[in-house]
Parts: sequence; C-alpha cells; structure tokens
Amino acid sequence: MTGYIARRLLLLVPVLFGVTLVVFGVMSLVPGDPALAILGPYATPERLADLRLALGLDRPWPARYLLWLGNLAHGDLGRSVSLEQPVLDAVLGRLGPTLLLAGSALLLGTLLGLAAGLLAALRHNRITDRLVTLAVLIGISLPSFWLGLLLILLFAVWLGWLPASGMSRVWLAGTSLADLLRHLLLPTLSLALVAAGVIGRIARAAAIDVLAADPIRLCRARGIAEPRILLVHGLKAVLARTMPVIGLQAGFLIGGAVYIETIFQWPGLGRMLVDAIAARDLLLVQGGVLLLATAYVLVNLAADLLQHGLDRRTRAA
Amino acid sequence: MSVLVFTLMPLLAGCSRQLPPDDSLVIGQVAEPRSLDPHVTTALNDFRILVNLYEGLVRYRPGTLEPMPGLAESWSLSDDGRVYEFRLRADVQFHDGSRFDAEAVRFNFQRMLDSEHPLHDTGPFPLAFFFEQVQRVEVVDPLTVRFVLDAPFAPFPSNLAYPTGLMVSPAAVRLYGRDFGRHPSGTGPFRFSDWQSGRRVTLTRFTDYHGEPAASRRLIFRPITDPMTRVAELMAGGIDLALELSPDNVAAFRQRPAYRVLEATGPHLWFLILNLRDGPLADLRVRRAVNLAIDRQTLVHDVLRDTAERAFGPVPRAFTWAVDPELSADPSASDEARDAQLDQARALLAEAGYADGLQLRFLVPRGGSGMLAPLAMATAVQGDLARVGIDAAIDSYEWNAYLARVNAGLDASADMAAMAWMTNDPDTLPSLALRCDARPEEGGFNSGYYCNPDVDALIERARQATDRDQRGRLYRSISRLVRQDVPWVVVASWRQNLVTRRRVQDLRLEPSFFLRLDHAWKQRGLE
Amino acid sequence: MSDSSDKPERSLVQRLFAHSGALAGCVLLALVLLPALAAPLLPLADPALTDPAQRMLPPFSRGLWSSHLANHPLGTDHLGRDLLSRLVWGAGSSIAVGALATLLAALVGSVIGIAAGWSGRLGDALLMRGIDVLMAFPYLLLALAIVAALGPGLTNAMIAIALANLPFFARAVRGAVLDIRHQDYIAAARLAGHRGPRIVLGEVLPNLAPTVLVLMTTTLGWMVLETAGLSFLGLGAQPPQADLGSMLGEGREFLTTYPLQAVLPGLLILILVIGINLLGDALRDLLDPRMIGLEPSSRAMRMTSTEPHRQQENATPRADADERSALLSVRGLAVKVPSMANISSDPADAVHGLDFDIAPGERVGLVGESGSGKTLTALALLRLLPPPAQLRGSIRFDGTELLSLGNSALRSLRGRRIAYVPQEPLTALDPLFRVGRQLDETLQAHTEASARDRNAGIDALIAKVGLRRVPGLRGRLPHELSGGQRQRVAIAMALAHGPDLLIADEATTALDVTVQQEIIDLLLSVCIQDARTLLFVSHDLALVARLCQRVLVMYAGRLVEDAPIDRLLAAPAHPYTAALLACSPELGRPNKPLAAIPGQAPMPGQAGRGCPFAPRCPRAQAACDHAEPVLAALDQAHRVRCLFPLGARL
Repeated sequence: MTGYIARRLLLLVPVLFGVTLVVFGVMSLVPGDPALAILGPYATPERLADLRLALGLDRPWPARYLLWLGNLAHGDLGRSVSLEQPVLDAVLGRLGPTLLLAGSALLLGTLLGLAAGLLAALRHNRITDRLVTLAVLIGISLPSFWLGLLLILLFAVWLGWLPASGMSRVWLAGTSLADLLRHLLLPTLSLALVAAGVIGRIARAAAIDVLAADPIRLCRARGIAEPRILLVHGLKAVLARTMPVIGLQAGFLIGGAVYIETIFQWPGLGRMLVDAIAARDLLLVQGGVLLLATAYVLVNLAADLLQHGLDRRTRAA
Repeated sequence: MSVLVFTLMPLLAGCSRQLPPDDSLVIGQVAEPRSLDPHVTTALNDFRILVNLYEGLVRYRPGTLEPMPGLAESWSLSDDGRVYEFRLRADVQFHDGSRFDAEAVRFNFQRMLDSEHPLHDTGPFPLAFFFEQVQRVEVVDPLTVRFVLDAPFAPFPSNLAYPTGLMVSPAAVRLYGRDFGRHPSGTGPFRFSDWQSGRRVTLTRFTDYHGEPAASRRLIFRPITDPMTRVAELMAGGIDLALELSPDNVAAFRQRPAYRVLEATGPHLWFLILNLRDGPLADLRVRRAVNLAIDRQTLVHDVLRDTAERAFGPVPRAFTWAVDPELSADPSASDEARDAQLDQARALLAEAGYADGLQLRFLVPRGGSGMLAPLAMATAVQGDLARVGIDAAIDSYEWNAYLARVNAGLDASADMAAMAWMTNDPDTLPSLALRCDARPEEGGFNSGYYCNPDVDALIERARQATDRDQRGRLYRSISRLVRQDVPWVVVASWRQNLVTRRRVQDLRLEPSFFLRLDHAWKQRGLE
Repeated sequence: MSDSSDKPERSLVQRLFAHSGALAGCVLLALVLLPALAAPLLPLADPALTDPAQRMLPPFSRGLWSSHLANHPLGTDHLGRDLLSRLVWGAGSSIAVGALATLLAALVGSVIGIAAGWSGRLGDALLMRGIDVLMAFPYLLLALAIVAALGPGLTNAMIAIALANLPFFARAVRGAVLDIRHQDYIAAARLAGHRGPRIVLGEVLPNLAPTVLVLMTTTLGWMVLETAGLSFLGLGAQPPQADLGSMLGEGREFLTTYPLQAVLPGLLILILVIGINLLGDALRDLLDPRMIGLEPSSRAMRMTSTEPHRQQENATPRADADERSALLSVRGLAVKVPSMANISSDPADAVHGLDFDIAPGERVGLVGESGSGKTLTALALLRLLPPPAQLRGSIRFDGTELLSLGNSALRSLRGRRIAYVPQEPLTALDPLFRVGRQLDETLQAHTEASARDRNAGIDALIAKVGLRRVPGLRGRLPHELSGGQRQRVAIAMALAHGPDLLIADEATTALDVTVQQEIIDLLLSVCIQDARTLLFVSHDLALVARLCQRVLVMYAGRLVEDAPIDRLLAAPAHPYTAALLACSPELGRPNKPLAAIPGQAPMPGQAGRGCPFAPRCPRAQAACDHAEPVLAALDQAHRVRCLFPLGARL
C-alpha cells in the first residue's frame, strides 16, 4: 500500500513538470506582456523595454523556465508583477477560500447526489424516481453562472436574507462561523447543484444495480431490517462505485469554480488566475497552476485510496 | 435532520439585511489594487485609495483641475521658469511618526528618478517620466525645497498634483523595501490598517493629521470586479457606494430615491485614431466625412445613457481655461441639421471617389481603463458609418493585446482605432500623441502619423508659457487647427459616476476622478 | 405462441421514438434547434442591426397588433437589436460550436486513444502521461489560456474547449481498445494475415463506435455549457456575432433593469442542454448491448425492482387436513413472471400449482434442469422475489400462511426460522464487509444479545461449520476466502438463529467436486444433529442422493414426481426422471453411457394444453397431448404426474 502511494506521488513529478512546461509554452504564445498591462496607455517601446528589463521579461522563455525551476528548488516561486507580492504568498492566501468553497460544494453535492440516487433507485420507475431523474437532469444542464446570478437577485437583492458577495462582512474584524456560513451558502448552492446532478446520475445507476444484486437479497433472507440494508450495505456499495466521479468532481471544483468566484467575488484561486492571465502575469499563473495541478492529483489519489478502502477488490496498483 | 436544523438556524437568525456600521464607509471598487505605493502603480482604481492615504506638495482645487497648495504652503517660480521653490507646511508627520520635511521630499524624487539611489530597486516607476525634466532637487532648509528643471515646463505643478507626486515616508520605504506597497505610510487623513487580498483594504482615521480629522472612522475598499455584483451589493446594502457602474445601471439608479448619483466630467477623451499614412483616411475629405457621420448625441445619450458628454477637440472640456466654449457646441442638435451633416458626408465621400462605398478596418478593445463601453460604442459608430455607405469591420482585441497593436502604430491593416486618455494637463495628450516626432518608433503615441508643424510649434510654446491665460489662448489655437485636420474623431468625455446610498453625506466627485473621502460621513437612521 | 424472431428488426430510429425520454428530448431540442436551423429562412429581423434609439423595448408593450410587435416580438436588447432574432441565431451558434467541439475532441481524442491502446508499452506510457498532464491542468484555465493565446472568438473558444476535453475521450477510447485488443476476433484477423492498420480500421473502429458515440452524447451538453461559459466571460463570440453565452454575459449587466435580456438566454441554454442530455441518455440506453432486441417497455419490466414486496400475495384458503403435521405445506403455488418473449399476451406462470409437504426433520431435494422453476420456488418460499413477480396459492409454515404476512412478520421469520443458503456466496456475501462483521450483523438481526454474547455465538457458529482452524477468519473479506470457506460462512449465517427450515439453493453448484462433498457432509451433519428440516435445490441427482431422504422432481414449472430417494433411483415413475438418471454421470462408473434428452424444455407460456414433457417423451401417446395429467399418488409415499408412468401397467 505504501508502495502504491509512493508510486503515485512519484508520478506527480513528471505530471507537474509537464503542466508547468505547458503553462510557459502557452503563455509565451499569448500576445502582450505585463509591462504593457502596467504602463497601459503610457507604454512606449522605450519605456516598455526598460520596464521589461526591470521585470526580468527580456530573456527567452526557455531560459526563464530553467531559472524558474532553479528557484523552485529553493521554494521561491518568484514575484507577481500584477500583485506586487511574492507568488507563494499570493497563491497561499487564496488557497483557503478555494478549498473551503470546493469542499463545501463537494460535500453538499455528494450528499444530495447520493440521497437522490438512493431514493430514485428505491422507488424505481415510480413517480419519485421520475422526479429525481428530472431534478438530476436539470442539475447537469444548468449553467452554474446563470443560477448564481438568479440566486443573488432573489436572496440578496429582493429578499435581503443573504449577502450578495464576498466571504465575510468586511466591516468586522474577524469572522464568525455563522457569518461565514451565510456567505458560503449561495456560492456553494450554485456549485453543488451541478455536482449533485453529476453524482446523482451515477449514484442512481449504481444504486439500481446494487439494490437488485445478490448481497441485498441475502441480507433480506437473513432478516436484516430494511433501513439497515439500505443505509449500511446499499450506501457503502453505491459510494464505492461513485467514488471515481466524486474524485473527478473534486478536481474540477478546485480549478473550475471561476464563474462562481467571479459572480460572488469569492477570493479564490480560480478568479485570481483568470486575472493573472489577463494581466500576463506569467509567474503568478505558473505558481497557481502548479498548486492546482498538485491538488488535482492528490485529490484523485485520495479518491482512489478511499475507493480502495471501501471496496478492497478494486485495484491498488 | 437535527444537524440540518442546527446548521440552518444561525443562517436564518441573521435574516434581515446586514448593513455596515455608521462609522465605516464601505466602497465597492472595480478591482483589487496592485500596490499602495503611489510611484509604482498606474491604475485609477488604486489612485482612489491612494489620495486618502497620501498627500502631495500640490493638490487640485476642489471642483477644478487647478493646482493649489497641498503639503507646500506656497511656491514660487524663477523668471526663467526653470526653478520652482516650495515652502513646506510645518508640523506634518507621516503615519509612522516620522517627520515630513524637505529631506523627505528629496528622497521621494530621488528614489524615482535617480537610478543610483539605493532604493531605486523598489520600483519600477512607470510614470517617473512625468518628472523627467527635473534636473535636481535641492534641500534649502528643512521646510524649503527647490526643483531645478532642464527647461521651462508649465505642466510641472499639475504633475505634482498627480498621484505620482504623492509623498511617501522614507522611513517606511527603508524599512519595507519592495514590500512597501503592502505597508504604505503617508501623510493623509487616513492611515493604512490592513489589506486582505481579494477581500478588502482598510484605512482608519489618522488622529495626528495636520488638518481637519476625517469624518468617518474607517474606509473599507472592497474589490468587486463583476459590475453586476457591484450593483447587487449596493442594492443589498453590503456597500455604501459603488464606482463605475454601467450606463444603464446609472440611469436606473437615477430613478431610485434611495440612492444618489454623483457625476463629474473629467479630463478624459474617447476618440478614434485615424490612419493618416496608409489607406483611404489619408484623404482629408474622407476623414471629415467620418467625423460628420458619427452621431455623438445618440451615442452619448442612448448608448452611454448620459454617463459621458460629447467632445470635439483634443483638449478636454474639464480644462475650462483652455477650451473654446464656442467650439464645444455642436450645431447638429436638430434632425434637419443631422440630415444635412449626413448629406455633406456623402458628398465628401463622393468627391473623394468613394461614391459606391468604402471599407474600413476598425480596431476596438474589449475593455480597458477609461474605454467606457468600447464594443457598444464601436457598434454604434459602425451603424452610423453604414448610413453614409462606409462599411467598418470591427476587429476586437483583449486590452493588453490591443495596446500592443495600436501603440506600435497603425499600418495598412488598420484604418481606425478607438482610444481613450485621461490626463491632468492639456499639454499631455497633444504632446504625446499629436506632434510630428511623437511617432511610435520614436517612443511617442502618434499612432496615426499625423504631422502639422504649426501645431507642433504651438504645443512647444504652450508647454513653456507660464502665464495661464496665454497658455489658454495657445491651446484654443491648437484645438482649432486640429479640428480642421481631423487626425482624430473625438467623440466623448467621460462623466465619471458614483452611486451611493442616500445615507452617505458630503461626498463630492472631483473632475480629476480622485476620490477623497475625508469629508464623507453616514447619516444615522437612514438606509 | 410468438417469438421475438417473428417481428421485423426495428431500426434504431424507430426504437428511439418509442423511448419516452428520447421523445421528450427530441421535442425540447426541436423547440430550439428547428428555429435555429431555419433561421435564414424565417422572417426574422437582422440580429446585428443596432438601433440605439430603440433599445431595451419590452415585448408586447404597444399591443398585439402594432407594427412594433411585428418588428420585435420579444423586445430589443441594449443596443436596439431584436431579441428574438438574436436568440434564434444565437442558439444556432451555441449548438454548432458545441457539436463541433465535441466532434473535434472525439476525433483527436480517439486517435490518441487508439494509438495509445494499440501501440506498445512505451508509446502507451508516453501518450498517457501526456494526457495526464492535460487532465491535471485546471480545466477552465487551460481553456482560458488557449483562448488568450489564440485570440477570442467562437472558433477559438471551440478549439479551446475541445482541447481541454480530449483527455476524457482519449482515456475511454484507450480503455476500450485495450479490451477489444484481447478479443478473439482480433486474434482471428491476425491469423488471417491482416496487418495492423487494416485490423484497426476493419475490426477495432466498428467496435469502438458505440463507446465513442455514447461518450459524445454524454459530453455534448457539457460542451455547449462550457462554450457558453467562455462567452459569458467575454472570450467566445465577438460582436456582432451572438451565441447564448455571450448574450447572457452582455445581459447580466441589466439584470436589475431589464432582466429578460439575461434570463431568456439562460433559459434557452437550459432547455437545449436538457434536450441534448435526454436524447443522449436514450441513445445510450438503446445502444447498450444488453438491451438490444428488447422492447423498451418489457425492458422496464425485466429490470428487477429493488423494493421488497409490500403487498400481500393471493393466499388460497385451505381445507386439507393432511398438512397439520407438516412443517412446510405448499398448495397450488404459482409464480408469474412477465414474459420476455411476448408482451401482448399475459405474463405466463413460471411455476404452476405446486403441491407438496415437508415434515419436520425431513431432508427433501428439489431437482430439475435450468429453467424448471426450482430456484423461483425456493425464493418464493421466502418471498424474496421482486415485485414484477406475482405469487398465488398457499405456503403454510408451521401453521402460518406466509402469503398473507406483512413485511415485519416476514422479516421476523427470515433468518430466524427459515434460513437461506445461496448458490454463489462470492456474490451473495457482501463483498465490502468483513466476515466477522457480517456474522455479527446476522446475529443482531434477531437478538438483543450483548457484544460479548454475540462474540461467543460467532465462535460457536464458526466451530460448527468447521472453520475454527482458519486464522483471522473474522477479519477476512469474502473474496479473500476459498469457495468452500465462503460457503461454510454462508451456512454459518444461515444457522445463526437455529432455524427450523433450511433452504439451500444450489448451494454446491459453484464449488469443485471435492469441496462439494465436504459441504454436503456439513449440511448433513448440521441437519441431523439439530433435527433440522432441509430443502435442497439442485440439478445434481448424485448429490441429492447423498443428502436427501425424499426428492421432488420439477419440469417446466411443474412438480412431476415426488418419491423417497431409494425408490426414485431404483424405480423412477416419470419418464423425465428416468431420462435424468440415464444422463447423469456416476462416480465410479466411467463407462456409463450418457443419453442426452432430445429437444428442449418449454419456456413459460410456451407449453400447450397437454403434458409439457410429451414432445420429448419416448412413451408419449395421443392422450398425452390432450390434457395435462394431475399429480396422482402411486402409493402412499410416491406421487407422479404422468398418464403412463414407468412400471405401471399400460
């Protein structure tokens, strides 16, 4: 087992290497550079050249890539030109909110999806099943950014029940749990409904299979109570089958929540990186992508390990 | 089930609208600031915070763009116009407790201009060229500082009023080095409290301020990049004022009694750079036709919902002393006049040999500071031109890419390009963009390759003239000449807007677009 | 009598329209797609014509018949362009781009997948690492970076989305290719001398098509959403071109002033993607090889319901006095399952009117070939059949009528007084839980004993089934045990509460021969030791002979013979029983000639009016086809359902 984990972690290295190479390569194709972003309308070729020199942008990108790698070995991710702070600080500062949002959405989405799947399978081919299937269908077809806008309009502007954006009330020194939850609710909902749809779909199919299979029948033959059959045997089996999808969703939520972060002004990594691309802040993009790719690989590893933990028959090699 | 209820309870408990406390003003900004070091940053967005933290030797007289004493009590100019001597205010201290004196002033400029200065590497300082005429800065005594220029330069005091001329604390720069931008220290009515990336920048009242203490205890700047979210937050009550809302939203807020809309026309121009070197626009008649065809009134009123004013010449109307009131009146107010203009445009085109129509390539950015609603406006322009038989194909670019393209000079593949500038002196724009040798290859911004030696001569004289009335006359002459040559089609000047909830009092918008909030406060009991 | 082969093969399109989900999907798609496709022909306003003076006009503002309405039925947007026209054209753009992106991703991804799956290890490893890199890249950022590099515009957005999604295709195709590669027909093609490329084109691609098609239908909706998302951020369609996403993005500024402009495009995206997903699901269902050949509605019936019975079955009241002494008494038991072959007729009985008794302590065998209905009978006794199946008749257990019991009473009986030993414990024991836990759970189902007592109980059970010597048994998972060990565990679970009746359903079928004997011995000993009643279902007469005292023979859902084992072996009465004996191999008689029974057993509903065995019976007479014989007693212990039983005088 440790060998397996070690092997997967080791695979992280070439993947990250590849990812960072792709970033450098793609960004080098993007026209414009940070010097332009900074100087704006005042940019003349001369001033641009000076600024580029000062920012270290004058060298060709392979050289810069090697330089970056060298610095990486010392734990130095460089300095962000658009944020005027070390990349590591900038990225770590946004990591917390991203994980919080992604985690909440994943949790809620998984709970809803599993519940929906089990419910639908229990009432297979009846009204409840059809309703759940419809809900799942809507979930996977919803544009999350559209949903977010409507939620803000309804709950923040018209009803005034929940805050419109942000992570906490800015006029307070710190933040309380209740305050955080209130700010977290709408963005989480926007993301979770889509995740619930995707997970619910798989969960329903898995649950239909599981509940019709032999182990469940034998449980009944042994006289075990229905609730226990469903929530212990059924749930575990469904969870084991749904785990890969959950892992994929987790990976996606970490890097793909950009629309929600934009609309809700959630101070997450996704939005920061979108702005970084617009500002041509290569080092910031690099650092952020590095972090996200690592998170993605780790999350998938965790999902595989969890699946193995649930169902020992799945491969751990 | 119980877990669900337990989680939902605190949420429902705070079900009413949560508003900021009365002593704190929450401002919804357009973006996250890049740096709070005034010499490092170039964004208007950042300036709005900076003018509350820092002060300069000189500031703009409220409601105008005229320099008046700031940290300097007074100043004098030598007869040859090259030496400025400033008498500084006494008993001014920086937020970190250090003294503000002539030595500090000198430090500020040396840091920016002298590449040998030990802290020059805390830059780069993109706008240092505002002061490139400064030969040296001399400390006469602790309260007197002298600037020696290479040549007379009339815009100098105005440049000092610009954020690049704000005074930072040398002690703080020495302490923080490159991180000074995150630990600012100035002499302004507010001091820096904290900066949480992506969430807020907090300033608190500086109790040892040399002038009247600020009316609010705290200023909290929230970056809300999405314009719709800014609107939503304003309506939900999460912010007290919102900046740069879209024209339609501004118009909507004008109708709502619970809000106040503040507006001020700034020294801003939105115009089309025309390619005078290659293509059909090299012909003056075609340029005049384009100028006539564009319906500024509809554009400003319908597309921009009156968040801008019509503009006509290269000197923004905000410089009241430098514009000819006659010139800014547009005779095309009525429909008949409008039709006459269109006919005239068609006639000009026919004369130039384009009776069957003309194709132009029109470059437009998709965003950008000061570009207002570039795509909407470009589409309207496209429509206007179509009416006289000109087919303008729009080529849109992301802002950075756009700047790279346009500032390199228009070539045969582009006939016109939209551009916007905000300046602090009537000299800046003509100097940078209309002079013959301000070509892109020489480091200038004359992307259309306009050249009129008479205009050049006038610009040079106006730059050096120290008498304001004389300068005014010279700029009026420049405007007249430029209007005849039509190197640009000047369309509009931005009316910056600010929407506040009605509880915010004593707030005023300056033509410079800098947002000084030291007098603003919130009325208790009002929403 | 009808047969699925009688009906003409319904084409995919016909089956598609019979599927309710597909129909709904088609309707929704048509709602959006048809106007979009017909856009050039429809009398729509020019979507790019701006008219700032006419901006943000609401629909129907000046009455239904005004020319304003004729011009702008849904109003105008913020630049004065007709909203309806923009929606229609925009929908077309969105669909086109989504479809093209899907196609592109499928194409490129498939090529990579085929290359990876078909080539050697090195090629595969390299390609897959490349794909991993693409997947690890935050999805949206990849798309954004690509758009930033290529410039904005719908085409570039399409390329970006396609690139960001091709890892999914590559992976899936590679997996499928790896599966296909080991199939026999590939080996055959190679043997026939075909070269690699020809095999790929001729054999691999056609078999890959369903997988790719299914994947495309899954991702199409997603691609449309993602394209809309990029446009929403301003990176997709450029003015004056419109697609639904950019309309949403433009319109969001006006959410509080003119909501229609933002709400409508979003709604349209929703409808579009729902339609695509519905259609995709339907296509997926129909392409599933397991489902091909079945009518959609019968397929629905065939899919077993997961819910236990809630209704009570139809119990027949009894007057018989005989059964008072029997532990289990079955009268007229019939099980009806929906027929697979013919949905127009009523579902037929798979088990017809079984009558038998089992005395306490008796060991009875139930034999028959596959399809005879013996497993259905065993499950029916415990009422473990899922709802599409219906039971009739009477099952009395120790005086209680099982068919009229409610669920909680049933639950109380199952495992405690009637226990079940499954055929394949590898799948029947829950593979996710450890053996010890499952034993404990079984105990907890019917007792409130403390943990310590339960522990002792488990030890006792383990000893009873002869597994005491197995180290760490409790901590093992079912798949970590041997077949025989597993079956012993299953038996232990069945014995947990000392049931009166043990039903072993083909309990030895999945085991190899030596282990089979051991299990038989175990069953024998536990039954004799505790004077337990046993119903042993099997197709193997030899095993039944060792274990059981009496045998019930089933054929085509009917009980055809009921006799003590010695009598059955020595002098079978029913011709079918005799034939069975003749074709079973006997240990120790290697040269016994095995005579196969010609013909096939009838499917439920297929049998005619007469004796179901008549078509295959060597002793059949004309009378046998007229009416089905009844189960008659030959003597006190021997019953047979035959008009001309063996050994009787003709």
